[in-house]
Amino acid sequence: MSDDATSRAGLRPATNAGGSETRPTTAASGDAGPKTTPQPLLARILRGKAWLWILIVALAAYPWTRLLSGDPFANANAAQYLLDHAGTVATAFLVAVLSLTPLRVLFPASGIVRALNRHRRLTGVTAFGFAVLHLGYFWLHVGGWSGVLMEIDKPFIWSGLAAWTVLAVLTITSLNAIVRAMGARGWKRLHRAAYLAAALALYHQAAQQKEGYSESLWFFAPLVLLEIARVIRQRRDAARSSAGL
Amino acid sequence: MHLPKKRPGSLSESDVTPESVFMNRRRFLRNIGIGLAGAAAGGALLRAATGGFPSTRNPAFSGDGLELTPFELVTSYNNFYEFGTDKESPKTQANKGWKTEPWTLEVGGLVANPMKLDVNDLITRAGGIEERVYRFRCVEAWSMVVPWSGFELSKLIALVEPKAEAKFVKFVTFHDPKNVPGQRTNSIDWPYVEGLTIEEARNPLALLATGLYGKPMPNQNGAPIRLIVPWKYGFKSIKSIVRIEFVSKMPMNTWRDLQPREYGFYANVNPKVDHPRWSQGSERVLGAGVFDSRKETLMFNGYEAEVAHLYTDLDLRKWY
Repeated sequence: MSDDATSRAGLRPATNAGGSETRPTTAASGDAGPKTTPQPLLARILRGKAWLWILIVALAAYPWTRLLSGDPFANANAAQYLLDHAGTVATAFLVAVLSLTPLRVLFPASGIVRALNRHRRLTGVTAFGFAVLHLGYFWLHVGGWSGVLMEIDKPFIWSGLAAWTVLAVLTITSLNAIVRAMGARGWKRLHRAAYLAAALALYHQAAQQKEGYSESLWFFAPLVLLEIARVIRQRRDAARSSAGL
Repeated sequence: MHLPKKRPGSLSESDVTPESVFMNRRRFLRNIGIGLAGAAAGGALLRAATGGFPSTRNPAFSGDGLELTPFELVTSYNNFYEFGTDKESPKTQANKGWKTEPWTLEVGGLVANPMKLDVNDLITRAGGIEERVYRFRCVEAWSMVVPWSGFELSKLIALVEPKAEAKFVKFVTFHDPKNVPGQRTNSIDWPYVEGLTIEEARNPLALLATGLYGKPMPNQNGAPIRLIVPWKYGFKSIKSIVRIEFVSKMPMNTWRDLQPREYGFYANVNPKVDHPRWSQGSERVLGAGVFDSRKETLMFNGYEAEVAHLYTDLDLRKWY
């Protein structure tokens, strides 16, 4: 949810302190310029949106195919099943979109990483899309608004609603007209709130587990490691450039 | 148990019916019938603790007005951390390699007649099994209605004759990390343990269940013998018991040990006391569709008349 949106909105991506200058020619300008190196097949496929849309539709349809085929596990607690599935997918897409920046910093030359970075907005908006499904299924699961109100005082629930609200704001402000109105710098600053959404989602995700936090680790540990590696890389690069190397 | 792969329908040596059942020729023939039917159905139904089947329904627990949860759902949606922390894994993981036959149960502690015996012998000594339809309410706010087969825990208590100092009963599950994948992880502190007060254990509702839907207990539901205390949250109804011990002090139970703020010793179904992360006022009945509404949760899961007298002196908000 960042440069992809700003470039589509007709803005040059803002360069922020530390990060973006390690990037070679931006993916956004790569569209127009002549290709100097041939792209590997995988990177070429990943540049298009088709695979991502297929993935999104498949993930949304999968639980329904299990429900409608009469699968006993899925049908045992159908609303809970849909709720859990949508929540898991939303979390995965949120982690994925946040991984894109550190990946780009760490592997600026990778065609695959650059191809994936073309889909920042769609990835982020998909996270919110599944969060919308998740909240809708929750509404059904608890039996409407009265049920939602009964649960809202619990940290487990309001943390999820807070994450949802942040994602809603980030999604609305990813409309081209609003990106343009906000300007690249302001947009970027606002969209750092994605990290807040991730922290809230991490708490929400960990709190639904009855024992231990292994599932949360699987989701969030890779992101944390990527962010640590990114900070180390950016510090080193900054030190080098200030030393005039 | 080991299933005959070469000739479906044939029985292996481990399928030999115990002598106790063999003595009753009529019952023996019926059991073989069940065994053959089970083997023909891919072996899924051929299980340990075949003693006592078929069981007849106790009219006092006929479940009038209750809609039975389909067998397929009861056996596909299981909390059994020994076979995975999700509710889908136990159905597959508990049915590859984990043996529930033969199964020995040890009953000891503060009793006059400690015993260690095969589960089928215990069924015989307890006077056989009967069927009872009970509500079952999980602390995760889902519920089902199951026709269990088994015998009253009070019958076992009468056999071992607890001493006066015995105030609590502790139950322990098997520990077999070699064949049980969940026990090779440290998701919880193995083996699973649970407990009741001796008054609760003597309550006529407390059942040692060895089957459901008229069949020996499927592995994922806690074969071959498990506790069913229907007025308490499901985690109290410990599965696959190997040891029952009569003790003087309140035993620790696994979930209370893990999260004392969330799970207590008593764990009585109580719509007025919420779990810290979700309300307990209503529940989802297994099998309800996505758009179906929730059912109101009943005090003591609808067994108030039978058990409320056990807790007249207890603050149920404090002792959740």
